[in-house]
Amino acid sequence: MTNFPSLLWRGAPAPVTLAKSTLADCGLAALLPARTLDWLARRATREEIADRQALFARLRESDADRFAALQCELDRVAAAHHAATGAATEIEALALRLSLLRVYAAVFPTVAEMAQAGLLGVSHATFWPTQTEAHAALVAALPALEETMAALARVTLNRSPHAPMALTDPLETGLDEAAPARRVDAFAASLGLTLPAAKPSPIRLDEGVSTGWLTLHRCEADRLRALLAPFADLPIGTLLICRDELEICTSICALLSRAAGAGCSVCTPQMCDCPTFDADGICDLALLPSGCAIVPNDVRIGGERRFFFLTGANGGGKTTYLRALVGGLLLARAGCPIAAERAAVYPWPDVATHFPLDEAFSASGRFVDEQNRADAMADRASADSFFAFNETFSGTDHDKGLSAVLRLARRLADTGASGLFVTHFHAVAASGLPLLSAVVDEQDGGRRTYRIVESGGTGSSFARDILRKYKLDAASLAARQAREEGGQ
Amino acid sequence: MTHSLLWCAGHAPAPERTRTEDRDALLAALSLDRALTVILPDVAERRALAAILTAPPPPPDDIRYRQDVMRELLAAPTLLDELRSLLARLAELKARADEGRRAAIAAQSRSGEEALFSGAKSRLEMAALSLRRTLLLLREADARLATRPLVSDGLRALVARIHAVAASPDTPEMLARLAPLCTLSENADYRFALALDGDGRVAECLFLDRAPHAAPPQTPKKRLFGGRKPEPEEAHKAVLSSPRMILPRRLAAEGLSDAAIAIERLTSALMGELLPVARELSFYAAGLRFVAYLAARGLPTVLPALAADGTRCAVGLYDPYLATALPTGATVVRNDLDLPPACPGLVVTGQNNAGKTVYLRAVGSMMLLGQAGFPVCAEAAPLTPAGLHSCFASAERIERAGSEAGRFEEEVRALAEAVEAAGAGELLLLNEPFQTTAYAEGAAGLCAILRYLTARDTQWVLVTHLDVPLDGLAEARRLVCLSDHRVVEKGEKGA
Repeated sequence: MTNFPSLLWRGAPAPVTLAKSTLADCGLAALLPARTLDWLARRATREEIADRQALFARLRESDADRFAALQCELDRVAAAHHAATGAATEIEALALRLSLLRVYAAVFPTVAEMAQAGLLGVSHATFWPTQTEAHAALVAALPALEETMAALARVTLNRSPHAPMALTDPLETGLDEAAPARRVDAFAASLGLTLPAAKPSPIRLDEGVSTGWLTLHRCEADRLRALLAPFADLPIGTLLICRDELEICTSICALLSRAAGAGCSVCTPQMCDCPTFDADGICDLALLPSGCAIVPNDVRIGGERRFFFLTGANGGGKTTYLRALVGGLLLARAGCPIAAERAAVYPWPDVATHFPLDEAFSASGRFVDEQNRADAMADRASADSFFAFNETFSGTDHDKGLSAVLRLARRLADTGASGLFVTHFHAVAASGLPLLSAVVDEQDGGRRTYRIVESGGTGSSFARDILRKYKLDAASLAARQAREEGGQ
Repeated sequence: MTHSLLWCAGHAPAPERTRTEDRDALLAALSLDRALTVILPDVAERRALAAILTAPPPPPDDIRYRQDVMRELLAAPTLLDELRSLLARLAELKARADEGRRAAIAAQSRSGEEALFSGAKSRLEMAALSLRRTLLLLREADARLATRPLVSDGLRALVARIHAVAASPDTPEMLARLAPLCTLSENADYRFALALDGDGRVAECLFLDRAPHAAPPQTPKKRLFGGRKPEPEEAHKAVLSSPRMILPRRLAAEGLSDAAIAIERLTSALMGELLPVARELSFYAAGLRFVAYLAARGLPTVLPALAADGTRCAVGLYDPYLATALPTGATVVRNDLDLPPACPGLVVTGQNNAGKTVYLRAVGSMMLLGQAGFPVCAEAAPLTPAGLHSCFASAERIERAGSEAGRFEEEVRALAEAVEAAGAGELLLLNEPFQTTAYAEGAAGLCAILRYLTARDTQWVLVTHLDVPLDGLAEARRLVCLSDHRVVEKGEKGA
């Protein structure tokens, strides 16, 4: 147990072990904020996964409204804290500290109540009751703090041609009403004119004026300092951490709500003890921004069949399937729900992707670069590895590429690693490794179904459909040639 | 509070479906833009009128409202001059005030905190001077306008508003308060009320007053800073020791600037009420000039009588563009329009150059000008305001547009849009449609369209070379343009 309460960790947060490129390749980097991505890149213990799954269940269902309200309140604390840390003068520091305490006093009951109800986990439930007394003292002191601040807030500035500028006690309020600006406003109102509201542009005091101001109001300033002193150690930092963690959870929930709105199922995956990814109706969240219909697919990885090839038609959904697997796995191993009807997942500690990169400006070239990255993955591969390859080694001739693909896949499979290898090398069907294919409906002109099934391979990438659409397929070119010849 | 000489509610109603660009095209199709260029040499007047003509047609109450103002100004042109002179002086005051304000702001931003204060002081002086002059000018105008007996609602409301400002019981007090602010001395004490907001920043720096500087004290007070305990007599004062006094000077400048801004806002609100009327008066000035131009050529104009029963008639109707295009002294042939509610439309035929399109332009111009509350080119013209739509064939435009579709297809598309836009009770002007297809097919196609329009209660005027039968077009009539540009009935009616 850490010495601070946390929604997401039982101890200190784990180090980052996931490559940024993996989060980008599966599409999550474009869908989630940086803080959430950083959290996803850290490995969780089994206990933490269980805690988080319970938390997400509360967040998404039974107590969603309460958590949303809490998030708003914690945002207020964060804003007030941010302002207080930026104080430039003592007078600003005093005012902003008071402002922060005011927000803390208002937010505390919500946090304490939720913690006591067990909604924030064990550590929060034990922490917040210890703060009740301090909060009560703050509430009792607030009226005096407000009164003192109000007494401090007004002065008169005198500008004289032959004397230094000086501050004096505030004048009686009647004089304010006679000020030219106020008289003009009153005159405008009497004529029925509505003047645009003045834009408030507060001016920050400098040290000199702040000191002068506090000197003029010496008694009030001393009293304010004395009243604030007992509340220097309130656990505001704890609230800020809670807010950040809650923001992580709500960003995940928002993404999954969006997925549900797009027709995807969402479930809490069951955690497995051996390398398994067995899911029904898994969806690719990276498709959400496009607004297109998302076709769910099944995953059956486990036992002796851990490493698969995937081939099939251009535009048939191979990469989508790959992204759905990796994205689902990353969310599942962090204790999050995933976009699937049902899932049983092993939280592989080592997850990595190998997607095509633009050719780097190096002497080695794309193929060598791909080979180096693949070798690095293969070198560390074990039964705790889950690797996803997308069109790796397509940047060379057929035989060399096929040979490299087969060699790499066999090497990974031999280590017990799990994963998926998307490729257009249809000869991998003879490799002995299990093979998935993207299904097209040939009866319906090669229509893409976006369904991925285990098969013996299709033997084609169905590029002719796309060529026909642009009148560049063999039949269209032959018909055109016949017409031209007829015209002659 | 808003005041308008064009809209009885004080502002234009929410825009309707007719788009401005459609009305621009209509203005051009009727050659009204060219006619107005000749008649109205003043660009402001021409723009004011064009803006009205290209806007969606106003409700009948607004048309009557404008007609009343127009009638009153036509009867008393000096009133228009007087109002324009007042508003021109206001505009001039505003221009000077804006210029002064910009100069003061520039001076404030140029150098040093003392310049900041000095610039703010100038800005306040300029603002006070400008408001004071505005109020005095309105008082002067009020005294002169009070002697005029006014009839139209628009002008009476305008003059009443000027009176309300000029004769307000608070105006003398405001003038008195502004007077000392017009000349602010450097050699005076200025006091400002400062108030902090919840973030410990100065939310308000209110300029309170100024007074001549009192004589300096015999023994200068010692500074408070440096750890010394304040003497009892100094307990209510803190002499500031900011480096170079940057912030205190800035605060003082802000106080003066805020006072200036408050005054500028009031002046701007007053100007904002009155100056748009100057633009609106350009519409009426255009009306007076329009009438005078045509009267000088012996041509009549009239403010049409508004009907509500669908009647669209005119006696002595002529095309304003023709009136400007013909040399002075040439005869402009005038015709009549008789389009009662029972008549679904008119088919206008005749030889080339007989004046078919001129007649159509005359009808369209009358509708457009009349519905704007503007005088029309006729001796008498009872008309029912309604939406006006048109489809003028333009092979050149279609060619230039370089559409992939053929000319006929483009023409059909344009006509389909016009038919779609024209609703029940509205008027559709059709000029030589379907020239780019076979006569018989074009005529048959047009006939079907006219029947559709007739069934939908959309009135139409069709100029065509095609032999469009009137079968199934109820009380539609065929007119023919003779070689002397007179338009006569052919005696043929729809069945």
